[in-house]
This record gives sequence, structure tokens and C-alpha cells, in this order.
Amino acid sequence: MARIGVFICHCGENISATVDCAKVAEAAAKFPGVVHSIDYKYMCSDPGQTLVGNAIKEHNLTGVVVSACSPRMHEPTFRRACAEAGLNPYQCEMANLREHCSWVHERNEKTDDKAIDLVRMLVEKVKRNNALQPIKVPVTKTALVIGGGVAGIQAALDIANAGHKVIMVEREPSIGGHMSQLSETFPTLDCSQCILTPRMVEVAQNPNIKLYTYAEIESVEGFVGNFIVKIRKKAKSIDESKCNGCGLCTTKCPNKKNPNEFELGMAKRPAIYVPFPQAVPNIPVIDKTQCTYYKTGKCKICEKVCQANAIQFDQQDEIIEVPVGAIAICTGFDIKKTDFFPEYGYGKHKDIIDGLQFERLASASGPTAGEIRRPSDGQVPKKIVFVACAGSRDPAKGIEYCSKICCMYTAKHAILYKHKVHDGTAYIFYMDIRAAGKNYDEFTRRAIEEDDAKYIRGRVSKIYERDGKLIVVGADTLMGAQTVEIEADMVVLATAGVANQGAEKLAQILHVSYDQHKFFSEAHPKLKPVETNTAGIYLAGACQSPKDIPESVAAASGVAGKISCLFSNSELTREPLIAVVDRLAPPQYSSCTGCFMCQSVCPYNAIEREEIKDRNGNLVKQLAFINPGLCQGCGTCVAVCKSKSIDIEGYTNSQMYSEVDALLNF
Amino acid sequence: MEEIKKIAKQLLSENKVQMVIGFEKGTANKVRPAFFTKPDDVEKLIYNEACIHNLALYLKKDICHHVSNVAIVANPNVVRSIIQLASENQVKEEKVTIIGISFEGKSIGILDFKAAEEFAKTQPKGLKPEDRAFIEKVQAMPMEERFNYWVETFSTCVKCYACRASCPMCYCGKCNVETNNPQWIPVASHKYGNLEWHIMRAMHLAGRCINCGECTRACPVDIPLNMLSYMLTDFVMDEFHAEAGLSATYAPALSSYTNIDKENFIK
Repeated sequence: MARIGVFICHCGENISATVDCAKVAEAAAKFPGVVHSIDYKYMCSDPGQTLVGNAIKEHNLTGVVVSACSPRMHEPTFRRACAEAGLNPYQCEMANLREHCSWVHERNEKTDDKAIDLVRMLVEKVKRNNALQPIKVPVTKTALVIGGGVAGIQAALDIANAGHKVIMVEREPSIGGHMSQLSETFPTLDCSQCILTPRMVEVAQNPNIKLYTYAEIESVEGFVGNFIVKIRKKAKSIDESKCNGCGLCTTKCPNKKNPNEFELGMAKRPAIYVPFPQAVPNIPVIDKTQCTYYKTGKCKICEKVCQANAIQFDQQDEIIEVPVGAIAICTGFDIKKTDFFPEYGYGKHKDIIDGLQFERLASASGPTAGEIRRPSDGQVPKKIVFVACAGSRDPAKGIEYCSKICCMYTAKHAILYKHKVHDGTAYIFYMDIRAAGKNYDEFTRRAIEEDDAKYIRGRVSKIYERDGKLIVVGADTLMGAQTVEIEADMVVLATAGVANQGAEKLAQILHVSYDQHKFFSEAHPKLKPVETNTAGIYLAGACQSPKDIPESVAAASGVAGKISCLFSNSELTREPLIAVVDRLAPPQYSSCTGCFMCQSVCPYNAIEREEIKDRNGNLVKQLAFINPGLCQGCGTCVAVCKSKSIDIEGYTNSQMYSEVDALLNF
Repeated sequence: MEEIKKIAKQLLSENKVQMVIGFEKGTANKVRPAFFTKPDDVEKLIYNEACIHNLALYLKKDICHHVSNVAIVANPNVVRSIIQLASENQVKEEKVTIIGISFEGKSIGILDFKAAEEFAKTQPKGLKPEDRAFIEKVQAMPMEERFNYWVETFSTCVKCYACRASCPMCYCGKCNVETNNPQWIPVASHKYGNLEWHIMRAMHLAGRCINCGECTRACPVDIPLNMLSYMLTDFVMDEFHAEAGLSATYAPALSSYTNIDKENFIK
């Protein structure tokens, strides 16, 4: 027989000001199976928990209903209290009298009745609760870091320095990401490469880090602590063990007229190339779509000049399978290109460039060796217009969010421009200056006050060409929306930051959620900012939303902390609130018919096929089997199972039904 | 018909199958399903316009349980049923031999699953013009009237479960209606209990029904159950561009997700 204890909490006055707690306790005492029912001012306090514990011992309770607040905060508290008193913690349920009742209703009799109903439902449920045991799973203490930008580098170094193995996978031939393309960084104007490249080298040299460049994630299976990842290592056509990075092949390659991706098309590179001089690893790759040998079958000059015999034209993509315990997604972002803007000429004007291209122009290692020269004719622009919020904060363009970094880098661009072109004038069209951050506002003030950037509050409606000049037509909303026309030599669009190409595909491989802009979603915007909804998979950097360098680095260290915490355990404990397939006596074995419709709906790949065999090894029946390590207890399989063969432990069909029944048939 | 007999006899005598499911003459002018295990018995096999029952049903019944290989005389409805059952992991190609036959009774010969899929695609579905008219009439009703129409129609149901027993897609070992902890569907035959049963059955068949019409033929009180299935088939086609019974690797529309699925229900 069930012996249920009911504990009504006043929550100070949060509940008792609206609900007559004594009356609810009195009513609950009369429910069938309830042997003890009391109310108390703070049930979560130490004396309150003692009340629960003592009652369990005194009345030999088989189930506990704490009628208090949302289980989100205090369910673990009361479960622990029950466990300490010798009751299985999963025999404890919470009725939410605060959020579901007292906070949303007036004080009257109906509110009391609702409170009584809520308690009755949970009493009926807890009678059907099973004693459950937490699930323990082992942990592979190796982390996978996807993406070798500044976030990935920081995460990898922090995890490696905590003593764990790290596998880093980078899509491009070198790590470094967007940060390696930047000239200087705000608000300190220190050289981006000077602070980044030592970190890149550290990654390459750290014995705990295994680096795969020119590689992508092929598939991910498994669950927290026990992922199996397949990495596709694309053929570089170079034997990395032999190449000594002398660079002779890249200088001798006759096919040198290919657009340089690192310089955003503003320079050329050979078909065999190292993306930039400081690349890590300093090993070239052959672009098969451009290489003369791959196109015509003749050339092989690189092979002839290579003294290390490292060129391997017949190299194939390699699939590497690795077990990892946690995954950090640090895949970064991209920016809209100038062709996204019909009003600014669809990218057909060579002298309208994006912010990243300006970074390369301003960079000492860039195509102009750090001189600001416009792409069309190489002239130094004397009038330059920066357009902030190009695409961002524009619902009409489908990008309603703020790209966050543009205000700051546009100010930086204006400063850099002034430092390099002393007699030039920089105009900045902006909507608002968003400079929240340490020394950020001071930085924009510096651009305005010391470096004479002309800030114009308003948007640019169109840009067109007239007599070799770009006519920028905008409005100055601080001057009564007066039309402003500027004859500029060059225009820089601070285009919107967007999710990286392939983000959606990666999210689907990893089974993590993403938003409508294809940015990865965090598990909770405030309290779980670096976790995803999939246990063991974390997020850092601009793959989550546009972020600047300090934020990306902070998030990456946060991820490293989370992963180190995870790896500090030799095994993981999970809530046993997972789906299970029923079992019946032979010859049925289970009411499961083996249609596996549950398999196709499971978002966590948790459902496997289990074979029931007789003693001769003949297949008798195929059943669904739910991997307890993978199942997150979402219940989607329960909904599609026609034969109702699947139950979520702790939320079984019979428990749910009895709750509804308690409400309807009273 | 002679050709079918020949194939069946050969399959049995060469011991490629242990049983052939077909039809034989029943009492009066009726036909009945027959299970031939000996080559000589096959003489009794018949096929005529009265042989309309969906024999695929028996693949999931006890009679086939301990038979390792079964051949089945399969008109297009049966073929579609077998393909759908295969997609739901209920029959295995190596265990079922399909002896294809058109609705007119013309033998197609033995079909492997690939050929069966091709055959199924070319065959007409059993929707008659009067059925189409009926569906249009019901769908034209306002929501409340339509609901009341079905409540009234189902009110005559006696819960004999003949619809379930005749349906090849109703293969669950333990039907929900027999689950009593909790009791999802009331056992007694009353207005809303009947409605619950039929809503559940319709939902379970949505995107899976191959529209053979057996449920309606089996119904002793003439409830047009297959019309409900037809409507759902149309709906699944419109919403998901999916149709049951055409591919053995079909992922049922209601339990699968593709990137091109409409998400217009998310408001």
C-alpha cells in the first residue's frame, strides 16, 4: 500500500498570501494513500528538509509530494533530502503551487481548489513512481575542437593545459581564422597577427593537441563522454611528414593567377599555396580545381623542385575515426559580401569593399603592404566613407540582429585610415554607436575627437558612380533628415556578420539546435551560455552570434572549464528519466512490433535495433532498444509509438494518465 | 489462373516456399483465403473477380509465424501492402515471394521487391468516382458539421474490431484498445468511446494506409472507414509529398523529417 507524505510550503508569503496552505494540507490528508500532510513556512530550509526526512522515517513513507515552487530549482534539494532519509529520490515529486497557482491567481476559494487539485494529481502520480537508479557512463578524456580560429585555439590550449588530450579540426589549410586576417585590433590597436601567431605555434607544439587542418567532420555518433567522430582529412597532395615548409614549390608553380582567399580576392596566389606566411602548419596544399596537372595531366613542376619528395599527386581523402568525450564548436562566422546590397551596386563597383577587405588593405602583410590604396586603380583615397549596419539591424534584409563588432571596427578603420592618410577625410554613416565594453567608448571618442572621423547619424540609401567617384547618398537624421551627398574615392561597408557556410550541416551532424540565422543555439541564454542542448557539446565564439575577440576568448575559456569539469570525473552520472521499451513474457518479449518509426524521429540517435534470439541463435524478434547513455528523455518516441510500447521513466503513460484522471474523475 | 497455379506448384515442389497463400472456392458462390502447403493442393487455387481480399494480412498472422518462406498471390493492393510492411520492417524480402497479378487477373509472374515497387507505381488505386464525390461532400462541410457527421457515423460501431482484423497494417501484437493500464480507449461501445477508437485508428494509419478498402468491406455496420483513410492519404500527399506502399525504404511521413518539410504549423 502506498504511504504518501504531502508537504505544503508557504514559500514565505509567495504561496501563503494567495493560497490557504493549512486548508490544502488538511484536504490532502484525506486523499487515499496519504498518511501525513503538513504545511510549513519554508520547506526548502534546513528545518523544512528535516521535517520531510523525519516524516519519511516516522511514517514509513513510500512517496513524497512537496507542494512548493517550480521543480527547476528545488527538485534536486528535496530528492536529496529523501535520499538521506532512506527513500529512493525518484519517489519524490513536486507540485508547483507557486508559478502554477499562487503567482497567477487572486486569493479566493477557487485558487485553493486548484492548489488541492495540483496536489491530488501529484499524489496519484507518485503512487505509480518507480524506484530509479542514476545511470553511470564512462568518459573518454579527449576533447574535439572544431574550428581553429581564436576561440578554437583558446579552448584547445586551455583544455590541453589542464592535462587532457585535444583533437583540433580546421577546414582551411591553416589555423588562425578571421583573426589572422585582421590588421590591428580594437580598442588597443595592437597587431592582430603579433598576438595570435604565438598562440597558433603553441597549438602546433603542444604535445596534448593533435591538429588536423584541411579536414572536416564527417559524422558524429555516441553521447556525452563517448562520442565517436569521423574526420575527413582532405587530400593536400602533400606528404606532411616529408614537407619541410621551404616554400620552393609555391614560388615555382607556374599557375599563379588564382584568386587569393586569404586576401579576399585582392591578390593572386599559385595553385600550390600556403594561405599566409605565418600559417600553422606551414605546409602547402594543392588546389585541385586550379592545378594545371590535375586539369591537363601535365606540369608536375612542384614535384620536380621539391627536394623532400613530399608532393603526392595520388593522395586520397582519409577518414580518421577518433573517440572523444566532449566537443567544442568554434566554427566562427562569416560576413555578407558586397554583392548582397542592390542599393550599393551589387558589388559591381570595385572600390566598394567590405570591412574584412579593408583589414587586408590596412595590414602590413596585405596586398598593398599596409598602404590604403583603392582596388580599382591603386590610388590613395582622399575621401573615404564607412557605412555601419550594412545589412545588420535591417528586418527588410532578413537580418534583424546587431552584428555587434562593426561599430568598433569601423571606428578602428577610421583611425587606421587617418594614421596612414593624413590629409584624408573619413565619413562614417551610423545608426547608433554601440560601444559597450571596456575602453570601447573611449576608443570611438578617440576616433571622433583625435582622428577627426566625421560621424553622420543616418543611413545610406544608395551609392553610384559618377566621373570615377562614388556618390554616397544618405540622410543626416541629426540635421532634420537632410540629404547628404558625399563624393567618395572609396566606400567600406561594415557588412553584417552571418553564420559560417556549412553551419547548418554541421549542426545536423552534431544534433545541436540552431536559430533562424543558422547560428548555433545555447542551452540557456543566461545560465548556460556555452552549452548546447546536447550534453557534452559546447559552443564558443562567433558561431553562436557575432562576437568580438575578447568575448570569443572568454567563451572559449568557459568551454574549456566546462570540458575540464566533465573530464574530472571518471564516470558520469545521468538522470535515469529516459525512455525504455517494455518487456513482456515470451513469446511476445515486448509489445514493440519492431517498426522502428521511433528510430527515425529520435533527435539523439538513441534508438538501436535489438535482436531477440532463441537458444539456437535463430532470430525471433527485432525490437527497439533505447541506449540509456544517449536518450535525453524528450519523449518523441513515446508519441509516435503506435503500440505504446515506450515509456519515459518518471513520466510513464500510466503516471500521466493517472494525473489527468485525478483531475477529471474526482 | 493456370499460370499462377503453375508458379505456385513449382515453388512448392522445389521447396522454395513452404506455403502459398491464395484463394479457393468457399461455400455457395464465395471465395475464401487458402493456405497451400502441398503441390497437389494447388489444384484448388482459384482467382476471379471475387478475390478481392487483402491477403497480405496473413503475413503477420500466426499461420505464417513458423513458415520460413511464403509465396503470396498478390494483386496490386497486396503488393502495396507488402512493400509498406517491408518499409516498416515487418516482412523480409528473402522470406516472401510475390506472385504478381493485376486487378483483371492477369499474371505478372514472380516479382522481387524492386519489380514490385515498379509494378505498384503503375497500378490504379481503388478510388471510384462516387468515392471522390463522397470525400468532396464531407470535406465541404463546415468543421463542426463534419465532426458531428463522423460522431454520428461512428455511433453505430459495435466495436467488433473487424476493421482492425482485416487490416494488414494493424499488426501490433497488443493493440492500444486492449491496454488497460492505463485504459486509453473505453471498451464499451458508446458514442465518444467509438469516436476515440476511430480517431486513434485513423491517426495510426495516416501516411501508412495503402487504401485497399478492406476495413470498409469488413465493417458489419457499413461505416465508410476507408474514406477517412483516403482523406488522410490526400492530406499526407499535400503536406509531405509522401505516399505509402510504393517504396520498401519509405520513411513514414509522420515519423520522419526532411529539410524540405513544411514548417508552417509552427506559429
